[in-house]
Formats: sequence, structure tokens, C-alpha cells
Amino acid sequence: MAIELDEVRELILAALPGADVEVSDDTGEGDHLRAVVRAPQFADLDRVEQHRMVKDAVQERMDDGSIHALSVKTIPTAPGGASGDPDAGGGEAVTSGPDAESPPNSNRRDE
Amino acid sequence: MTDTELRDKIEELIRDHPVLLFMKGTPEAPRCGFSMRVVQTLDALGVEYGAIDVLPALEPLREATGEISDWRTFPQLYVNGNLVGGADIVEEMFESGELAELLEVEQPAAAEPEPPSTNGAPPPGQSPPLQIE
Repeated sequence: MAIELDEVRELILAALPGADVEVSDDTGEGDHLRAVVRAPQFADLDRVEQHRMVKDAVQERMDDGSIHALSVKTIPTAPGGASGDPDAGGGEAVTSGPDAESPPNSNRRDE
Repeated sequence: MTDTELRDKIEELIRDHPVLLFMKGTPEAPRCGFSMRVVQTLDALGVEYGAIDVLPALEPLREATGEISDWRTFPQLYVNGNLVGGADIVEEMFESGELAELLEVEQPAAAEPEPPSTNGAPPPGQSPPLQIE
């Protein structure tokens, strides 16, 4: 059971309006997908929370088996200039990474 | 085992193991590429961890971790009782050095996890979940 990449993209966009969403198919079989999501909504969230927002958006299609696996990369973007306190949440076990302050770069992982 | 008993048991395991991995298969024989990547990352860091194979009771465990951590996919890595995340987050944090810091170990000199093996055979099919009741 495959799913259209556009449908996955639309589901994520509906949950995160204004996000930049790229969805690709890792295996060519349509059920192991990768999503790279850049969104201002991620700004003050830790990684687990960011990933939850993306996964929640497509949960129904994971539950029904249309998507077997979804690899997610989230990148917080600044909504028009720097905002928020970079020190906020600094004591958490899981904090946002260097991506929070550096330009988006989707190619950190090996191809 | 009732749902509540299962949830209590899982919370106890998370509490009792400083580093705990819920995975498909075992560290010796992972049955999913994502689980394998987390095993490789933890092995690269040389940390001791507990591992729980979720396949014998996949759906009940999905429900239970959904209630405990609002996270329903596996693998799931917990450190000191907190959900760190799945394979993507674990790899990101490994590459940035955050995971070594969190686990209080040295970052390996060659900090490159094995690339995900998506070009080989597809992951084996999941075994049907056991009926818990």
C-alpha cells in the first residue's frame, strides 16, 4: 500500500502552516518515506516535540499501514528575524541543536 | 497482563535502566533498519544499555508508550527516564555530540555512524503481535 508523496506533504502542511516540507521516497516502494520539515513553529520546542508534531500529522496514514516508516528531520526557522531567547530551555536533557541558530542545512547526514 | 499492568511494568523498566532501548528485534539481530541504526550508534559510543524487543507485543507496547511518552513508533531510546527520541533524533544527536554529552561518554574520534542500509534487502516482516490477554 503506497501513498502519494504529495498527500503526505499536504498532511504535514495542514498541521504546520507556512512550513517548508520536502517528502521523498527512500526505497522507491512508497512506504519508507523521509520528510524534511522547516517550520517556525518548531522554534522553542525540543526535538521530541518537533517530531511529534510531524508524526501526529500523518498518524492516521501510519495507523492504516499506508506509511510503514517515516524518517523525519526537523529544522526550526526564524519567523522573520531572530526571536526567542537562545538560552530558554538550556537545562533540559534534550535541547534544540545548533540548527536553531544556524542556517538551515538539510545535508548534514550522509547520503 | 492488563493494560495498566503493562504500562506500570514499562514505567518501571524505564525508571530502572539509565539507558533503555525499545527496539524491533535484539541488539544481536535487529529486525528493522531504524532499530539497527540506534544499536550501531549506542555501540559506537560504547555505552551499556537495556534492550527490549517490542515485536512479541507490538500493539500493546505501542499503546503503552503512547500513553507514557506520547510516542508510538519504535525504536525509542530513553536516558535517565526521559525519551530521547527515535532513530532520526538519536543520529542527529550523535553527529552533533549531544548524545555523548547526555550519556557522559567520550565522542568517538570517527564520529560517523554506519550509513542506513536502505539498499539491501527490505527489513523482514513483522511478526504478528501476541495477544496479551
